[in-house]
Amino acid sequence: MTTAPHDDLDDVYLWDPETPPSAEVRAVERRLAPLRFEPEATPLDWTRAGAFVVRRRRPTWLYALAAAAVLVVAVGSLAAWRWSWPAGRPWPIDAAPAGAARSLAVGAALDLPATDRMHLRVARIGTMQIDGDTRLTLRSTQGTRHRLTLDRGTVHVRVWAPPGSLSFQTPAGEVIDLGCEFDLTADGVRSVVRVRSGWVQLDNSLDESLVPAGAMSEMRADRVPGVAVFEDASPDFMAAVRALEAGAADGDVLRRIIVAARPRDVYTLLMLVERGEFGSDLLARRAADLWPPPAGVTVGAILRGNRDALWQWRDTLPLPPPKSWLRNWRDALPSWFADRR
Amino acid sequence: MVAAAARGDRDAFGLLYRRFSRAVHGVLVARLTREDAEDLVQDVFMHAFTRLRDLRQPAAFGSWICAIARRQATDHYRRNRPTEPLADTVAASDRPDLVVEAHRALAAIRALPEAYRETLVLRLVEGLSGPEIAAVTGLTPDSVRVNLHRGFRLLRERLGVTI
Repeated sequence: MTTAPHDDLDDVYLWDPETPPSAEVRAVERRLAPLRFEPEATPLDWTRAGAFVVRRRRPTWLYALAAAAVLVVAVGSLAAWRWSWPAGRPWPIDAAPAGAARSLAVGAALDLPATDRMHLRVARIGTMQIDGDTRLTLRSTQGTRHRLTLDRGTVHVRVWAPPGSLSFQTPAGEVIDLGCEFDLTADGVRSVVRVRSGWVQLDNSLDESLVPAGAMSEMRADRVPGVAVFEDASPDFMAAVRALEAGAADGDVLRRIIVAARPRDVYTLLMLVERGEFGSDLLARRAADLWPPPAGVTVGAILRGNRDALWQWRDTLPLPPPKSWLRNWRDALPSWFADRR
Repeated sequence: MVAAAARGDRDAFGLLYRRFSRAVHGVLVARLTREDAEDLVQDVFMHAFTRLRDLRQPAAFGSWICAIARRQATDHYRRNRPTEPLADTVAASDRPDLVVEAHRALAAIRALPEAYRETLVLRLVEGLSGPEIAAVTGLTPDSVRVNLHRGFRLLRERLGVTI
């Protein structure tokens, strides 16, 4: 007798106990039967449940919510701390020439020689570098309202605070930070601002001008503040725009603007149109060629002085949102860190 | 049933116990004494009841609870010196001869290579079918079939099974 038939039968029965039993397997089953577990004879013992703590897993969203709350509180506390500054407290000077004061007090004029340079803190909202040959006065400081006078010289400012927290009175007019980083140069005649991030507002008794990141503008006391011109525009475009603002109402200046304008310069063109500069109709049509106005806005409406239509058009341009100091959160970081990113 | 048990329904969990307690016992008895295995079955199910919310796939309950049983058997083995209080069991039985024979057969299974032990216990002690063993062990059906075939051939030789 061979074992093969047994093996086959064993295998079938081993796999499925419902099939006809194999005698050998059945014999082993019978031997082991006393060990078989019978759940009916040993019901669940719930009295043991107390020894096992029911572990309820907290949902993931709860952790996310808690983390978000902690973050909001932390950011809020940091912002509150940054924006609090006792009235009249002097600003600390981080780096100054030997023998210079270690702080800038309210009412004290800082007259920096041409060979020197200084770094100071703008309360807790930012930092400022002051170049040589600069005369600067801290007029008032409190909370999120800090006012200075820049008679002459150059400052490099980096602040992160609500719009309007910091402003400079210059001989040509007022320069108001709208939450950003910018360079400001002033002399007795004009003020020049170059914006690195966010927006800056130029304001004198005649009008105002908004300058976005990447652009520059200048202001004179006897004219409306200049329109913003992006610094990567062609030199001929820049020169022609300034000439037009200065009153050069001739076809050659207009032609140079129209020829050199790029889509990015449409913001400049629209500001010139808004001011009703010479050749506004041609400038508006050129702007429409470079960056078509949105539906419902026509060049005709713009030329008829519809300012809402012009702002609708302007809002389609790829510009940093006005007063977006929250979005410019990088300005809250130290410059050495933010510049590295 | 698993979902209801996860919500704290003890009746539903009781049904799971009736269905899977043999598999759990088989996993334990392949590693521990029968007395320890019976005792630990309760702990395994209570432990599982507290962690049912962690089980993402209700269909995997069998293999999940058997994995818990294996871990607890390992922990128990480390904590306690394995002893076989056979005398007590024999003394408490109406048929001590059968109990002795059963333990001898179980000892023979435990002496087999590890790959065959659990599969054979689940089949020969607890009466699970091949597909049920595959489901609770996570092995493929082919692996279970091979383990049963080879394991039983070795066991038959060691026990000297006669019809």
